[in-house]
Amino acid sequence: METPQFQGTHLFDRLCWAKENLEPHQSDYRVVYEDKIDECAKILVPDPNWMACALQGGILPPVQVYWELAKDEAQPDFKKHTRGYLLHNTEPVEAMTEEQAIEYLIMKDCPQHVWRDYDSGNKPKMVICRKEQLPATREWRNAWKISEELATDETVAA
Amino acid sequence: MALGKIKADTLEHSTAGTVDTQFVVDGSAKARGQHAAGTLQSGSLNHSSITDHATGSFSHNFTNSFANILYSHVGSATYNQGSSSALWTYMREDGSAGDTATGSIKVTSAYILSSQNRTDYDFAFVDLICFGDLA
Repeated sequence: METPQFQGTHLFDRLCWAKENLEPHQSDYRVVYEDKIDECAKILVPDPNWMACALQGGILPPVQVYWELAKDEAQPDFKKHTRGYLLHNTEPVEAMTEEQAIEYLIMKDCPQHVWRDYDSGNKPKMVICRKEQLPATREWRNAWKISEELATDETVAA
Repeated sequence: MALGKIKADTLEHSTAGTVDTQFVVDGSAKARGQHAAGTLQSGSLNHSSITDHATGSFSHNFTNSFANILYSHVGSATYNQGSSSALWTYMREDGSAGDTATGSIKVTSAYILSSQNRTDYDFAFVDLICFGDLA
C-alpha cells in the first residue's frame, strides 16, 4: 500500500491511518541497557504498530524532532510544547529496515547518555538481541544484568 | 490525499440535542497500550515502545508526545482467579511527577493484601489509556 503524502498532516492522524491500513509487525528484537549501576537491566520492546509505520515509511518524523522537543521540555520554565508542529510539518522519514528502525527507536526512547557511549566502559551498557536470548522466565527479573561475556549466540542477560 | 475529512464544530441528533465536536476530540483516548510483561499487543495506539524497568515497572513511550505533562491516565491490571489480593493497580509510579514526561509515562503494576503493603508484580496483562492535549 502506498503511503499518502503526510507532510503537514498531524502525526496522530497518521498513526490512526496506519492502524487502519497496516499490518502490525511484532519484532523479535529487544534492546537491553543499563543506565544506573545499582539497577537491573532495562528492556526496550518495540510497539508492533509503530514498527509497521517504520517499515512502511513516510509516516514517522525524523528522530531529531524528538530531541528538539526533549530540549524544550528540559528547560526549567517549560509549561507546554510550542513546537509540536515539528512532529507534523517535518518531512517524514523513508521506509526503514527492521534493524534501522531499532536504531531509530534506541535514539528516541533510550536515554542519550546510554546510547551515545554504550561501548566505552569495561563492558557494553547496551545490547540489541532477540527475545529468545533473554531469560525464559521473569522469576529473577530484578537481578538481570548484561552478561559479562557477550556472544551473539548466547543469552545476553542473566 | 487518502484521508477523508469532515469538518464540523457541532454534531446534532434529531431528538437528543447537539454536542460540540471539541468534546468528541477532547474525550477521545490519545494513547492506548495493553501489554504482557512489556510486549505490547497489536491493538495499541500512539506507542513507540515499552521500557521494562523491573518487576512491575514499565514506561510507555509515545509516538506523538502530549502537549504538557498534565494529561490523564487510567490503568488496570488483570485479576488473578483465586487471588486474595485486596487491590491491584497499574498507575503512575509513586505519584512522582518526575516520571511523567510529555513523551512517556512510568507506571507500576502492583497488588496489595490486607496483611501486607504494596508488592510490585507482573500481571498477565495490564492496560493504560491516556487522555489529554497532544503536541
